[in-house]
Amino acid sequence: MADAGRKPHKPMDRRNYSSSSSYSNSAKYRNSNYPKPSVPSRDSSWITPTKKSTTRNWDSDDGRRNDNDDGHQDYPTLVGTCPFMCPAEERARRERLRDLAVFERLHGNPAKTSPNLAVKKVEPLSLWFRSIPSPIMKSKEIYYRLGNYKRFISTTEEEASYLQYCIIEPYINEVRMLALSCLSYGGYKLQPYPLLHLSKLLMMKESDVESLCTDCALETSSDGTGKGLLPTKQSVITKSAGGLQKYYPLESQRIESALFYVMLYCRNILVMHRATRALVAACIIVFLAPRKGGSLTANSFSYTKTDTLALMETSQALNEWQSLVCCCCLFQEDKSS
Amino acid sequence: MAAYISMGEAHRRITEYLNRFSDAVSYQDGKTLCRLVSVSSDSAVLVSLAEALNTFQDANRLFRQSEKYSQYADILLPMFRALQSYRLRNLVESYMAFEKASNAFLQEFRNWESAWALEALYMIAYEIRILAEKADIELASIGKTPEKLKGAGSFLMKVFGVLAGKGPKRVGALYVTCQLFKVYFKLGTVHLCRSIIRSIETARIFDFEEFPVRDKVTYMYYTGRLEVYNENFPAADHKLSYALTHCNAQKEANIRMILKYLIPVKLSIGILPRQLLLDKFNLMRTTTISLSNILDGDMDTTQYMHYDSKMIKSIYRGTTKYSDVVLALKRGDLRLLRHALQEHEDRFLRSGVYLVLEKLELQVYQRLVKKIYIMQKQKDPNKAHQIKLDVIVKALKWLEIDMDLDEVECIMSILIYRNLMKGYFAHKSKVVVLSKQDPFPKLNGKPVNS
Repeated sequence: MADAGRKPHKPMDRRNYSSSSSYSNSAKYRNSNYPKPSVPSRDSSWITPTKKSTTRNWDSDDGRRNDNDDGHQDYPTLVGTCPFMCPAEERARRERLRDLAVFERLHGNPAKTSPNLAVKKVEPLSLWFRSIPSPIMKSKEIYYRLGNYKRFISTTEEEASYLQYCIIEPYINEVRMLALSCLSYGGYKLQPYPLLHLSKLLMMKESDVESLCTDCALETSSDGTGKGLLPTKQSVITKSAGGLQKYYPLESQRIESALFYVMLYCRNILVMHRATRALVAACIIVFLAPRKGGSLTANSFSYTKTDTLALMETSQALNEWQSLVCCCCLFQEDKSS
Repeated sequence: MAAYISMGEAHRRITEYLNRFSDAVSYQDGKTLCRLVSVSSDSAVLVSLAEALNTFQDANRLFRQSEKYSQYADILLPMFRALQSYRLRNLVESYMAFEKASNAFLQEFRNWESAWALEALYMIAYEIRILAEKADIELASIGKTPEKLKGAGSFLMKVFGVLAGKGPKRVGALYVTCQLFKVYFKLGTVHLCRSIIRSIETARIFDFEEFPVRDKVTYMYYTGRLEVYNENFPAADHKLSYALTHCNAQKEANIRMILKYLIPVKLSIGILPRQLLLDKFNLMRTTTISLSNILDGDMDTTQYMHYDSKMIKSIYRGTTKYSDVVLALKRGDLRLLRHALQEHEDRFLRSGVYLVLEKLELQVYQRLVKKIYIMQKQKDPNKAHQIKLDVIVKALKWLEIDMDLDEVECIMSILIYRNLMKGYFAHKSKVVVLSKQDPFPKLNGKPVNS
């Protein structure tokens, strides 16, 4: 049993599941200005691509971060230093013009935001691409905006780190709906598309596939061999009007074991630092939230976003990785509410 | 090193400049005035003036001496400083002094009736941008934040405000707009273009047709590029085509720049470059055809390179990076498309056309399936419209692209969904059945909807 004063262990080596070839975050944070929601702004280059996941040092105190002994990096480590997610003058301008997204509004006021809520508005994608370093562009994730749903889903399953998966999750759902649109539009009426096969393609439980079809107002039929998707020339409804969108998790051994390790780590922290217990509980909610269909159940831990952030700011034990994931998931939460 | 000049000579040169300046204003000689303020040019007049200023050291005195000159002191004293600093390579100092001079000049300009000084104002607008760019480079090199170009942008907005009125000066507004575009594009803050575009296009004082052709071409070029960034391809086509049609045929660099954006746009709406060039260039027909052939992916270039038309060579150089793309489209060669995108990735990314070209993948798939269809038709016309997914997998394998049945089915379903193919696929039978009529609809000027 460790005493409360000791620092937590470094996180376990995640080599077995986080084999992302494209991007992972090693942004540094100023210790004095501990994060506001600190998914780094796109202004600074925030991505350090590495070919494999080596034992990375997550403690911001540890100066060994900049040692590149895997020799795969041909470019300098890039460090994010922005204190806010939206530059102050852009925030002021958009307040004036009432150009604020739903999740940026303070108390729902379309003309008022705050440094914690505002997020920089993305310029046309083409322009943004100009500033991205070449290794990122080469990564496969960029390739699948054409709607190649098969590749998108299978690549995510194979290669995305848990953090990336959390971020991508809403898009997986969109891609699945696109897949259903295409398959139902071009299908053959005498050969309904087997749900079992669909479930493998879209990496969902078969029952979830059926639910998704229902959500999209698509019909299924039953015959001797199982259920199938009936083709229709009507387009699929893409967004449920208002309310929370349901996310079906990615059926993936790899991602599930990622969650297991995360929780294991959280449990270790729990044992050592009583002060962070409440915080870790919040983290667990956040990790579980996507699996519960995107809603924080009021009956369990009811931490609001501000509480969680406050806790994070006071806790020195929390390392960057956890805070980042929390922020991403929280940010995701905000967007969907 | 500057030659030694005497005090007397220095005095003479400066006074000569001052006389020229005040005469230009008195006689409303815009052309001369324009030449006198082009600080960054290396004109003999200004170089010799700079030498004189370095020798004389106290130009201030000259202004106090004469009533004729003192009225321009506010403009010319900072202008002199800007010139001296520029020649000494103190670019930040030069910019700051020039900004002061420009503001003073703008004040005077407001009072001058008629539009006689527009050309000089254009030069001021041009110079302030150029000097700001150089100043920012200097700032960046010493580790400071580059903010002078932004300042130049603010000044240009002021100029725009002065010109946006009912009088004859308003025809200058488009030139200033184009300078602002250049500033915003350089800074990457293109969203700021929106408000000036709105002013130009909706304000009642402006009639687009009144503006000089040169400015209209530049304007359409930049607004066309904005449409490309926003993926509005029909609008981009319209604007960039306007720019190409009205561009002076001798300005090969400009034509190259327009084509750089127009070709990907045309490709994404299904038009290959050949027609584009035939329409534009009324040159020797054979020359134009040869260039079109090159752009169309005709690989035998040896017979064309002996043409000594500088223009054709220059345009060819600027657009060859598209020829592989065009060839891939014609052949249905996915591997070639991906290779072409990879090879010129940096340039495509920088110019912002990467996304446009990437979208061509679907058209390449369409072409590939069409070729298979044509081959099957030759063997057995009755069965040609049924294509086994296996056959497509094999074709892709031959192109060294590994795809399983699921993914091929996925691509086929997308092609059908996006109306690039008419028909349906039968999952159990693992076959695509094409419609007997027009199974591969042409894009007809509309982009593949996403």
